[in-house]
Amino acid sequence: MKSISIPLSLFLVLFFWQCRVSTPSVHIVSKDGPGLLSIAATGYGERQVTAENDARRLVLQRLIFNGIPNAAVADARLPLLPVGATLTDNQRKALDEVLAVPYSDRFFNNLSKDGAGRASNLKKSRDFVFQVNYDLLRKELESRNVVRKFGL
Amino acid sequence: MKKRSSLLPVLIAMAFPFVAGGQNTGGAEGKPTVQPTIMVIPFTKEGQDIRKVLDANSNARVAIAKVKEAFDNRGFNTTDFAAKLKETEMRQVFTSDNLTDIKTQLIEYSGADLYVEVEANMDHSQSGNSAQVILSAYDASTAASLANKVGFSGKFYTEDFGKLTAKATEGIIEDFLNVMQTKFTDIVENGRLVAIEFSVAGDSDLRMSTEIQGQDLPLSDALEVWMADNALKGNYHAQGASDLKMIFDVVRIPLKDANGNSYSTNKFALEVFKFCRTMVRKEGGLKVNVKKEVKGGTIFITLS
Repeated sequence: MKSISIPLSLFLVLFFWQCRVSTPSVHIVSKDGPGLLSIAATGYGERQVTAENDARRLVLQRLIFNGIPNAAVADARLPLLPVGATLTDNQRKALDEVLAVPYSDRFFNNLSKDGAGRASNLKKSRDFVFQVNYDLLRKELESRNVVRKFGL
Repeated sequence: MKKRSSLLPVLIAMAFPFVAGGQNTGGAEGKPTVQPTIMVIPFTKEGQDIRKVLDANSNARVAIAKVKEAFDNRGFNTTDFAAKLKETEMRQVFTSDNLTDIKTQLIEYSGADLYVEVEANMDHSQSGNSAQVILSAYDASTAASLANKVGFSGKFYTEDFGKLTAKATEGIIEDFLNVMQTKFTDIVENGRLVAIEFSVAGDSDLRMSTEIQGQDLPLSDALEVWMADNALKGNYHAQGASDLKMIFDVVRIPLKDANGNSYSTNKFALEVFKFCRTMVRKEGGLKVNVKKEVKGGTIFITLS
C-alpha cells in the first residue's frame, strides 16, 4: 500500500500542477518608434498558430478596450475606445472585421519570439512578443467610425 | 458595358452606409461640426516676453515642433504661433506693454479655442544631461485645464539638448493627445464650455438684488434659474455673485442645435440676450437694458 501511495501522490501533484489556470498576460516591452509598440502576450492553443492568433487577438482587445499601462511607455495607457462606450451594430460589425484573422495581420509588423515558452499546463499556453503598429490600428478604427477622430 | 452601368447604382447604394452612418458618438455622422482651433505656444515665466522666448530658446522650438507634428499625425491642423505673432504685431493689436497682457491678447486675437503651453527645461549635471518637457492644454475661454503631462528624457552624456527635448516630448505626446481626446469626447457628449459674466453698468441703479417682475425673484436668482433651464443637461457652475456682478465660469452648451447645425457661443449669447431683454423691474416697471459682447468663449452681458 505504501509503495503505491508515494507515486500516486506524486502523480496527483503533477496532475494538479498541469491543470492550474494561468492568467493571460499582456504587457508593453518597449516603444520601437512613433506608433510602434513591442507587446508581449500569452496565447492558448494546441497548435502554435492557434496560440499565436489567440495572443494577437488578446493584444488588440487590450489596446482597444482596456489600454495597457506601463511605467516607461504611456502611449497605450488609455484604451482606444472610451471607457463605457456603447457600440452600434455597424461599429460592432466593423470591429469584428478588424479583429478577424487574417485582416488583423496588418497591425503586426513582426514576431520577435515564438512560443518557446510553453507553459506546463494542459491548455498549452505560449508566450509571444509582437511589434504592433498602434498608429495604423487607431487610424483603421477611425476610418471605420469605431473610434472618434481627434477633435470634436 | 450595359451590365457594368446597371451595377453602378447598386455599388453606390452598398457603399453609402459606410460613408454616412455608424458613429454614435458625434462628429462622424450627420453634419460636420466646426473643429476647435488649437495654438501651441511657449511657456513664459513672469516678466518674460513671449515674443522673444522662441528666438532665445531653440529647445522650446523643438518641443513645439514635436507637439505640432503629433497634432498633424492625428489629422488636426494647429494655428501657427509664430505666424500669428507676426500678424498680431503687424496689425498693431497689442495695446499694452504689459508682458502678461501680450500673451492674453495674442490668445484672444488668434481666435484659438484651445492652447497648448510647452515648457522645455534643461538640466546639466556631472552624471549626464537631461531635458524635461511640460505640456499643458487649456480651454482659452474658461482657462479649464484639459490635459497635463511631464516628460523626462533620462540622463545622457550628450550636449545635444534638441535631441533630449525631442525624446522627452515623444515619450508623452501620445498619452497627452489621448487625454485631450477623452476630454473632447466628454465635450461631444456633455457640451462645450462657455463662461458668462453679467455685470451692471456703472451709471445704473440696477442691482443683482433688484426684484424682477413676474418671477418675484432677485435678478441674480432669475439669471441662475434661467441658466439651470438652458445649460445643456442643467450643467453650469456659478463662480459667485456680488451686487454688481455675477459670473458663471462654467456653462455647458450643445455642439449642435436641434436641426444638427453648429451651435456657437454667439448663438447662446443671443439666447441670453433675448432672455435679459424680457426682464422688467418689479419696482417702477422699467425694462432692463442689455448689451452683449462675445470674446472667444466668454460672453459679457452688461445690464442697466
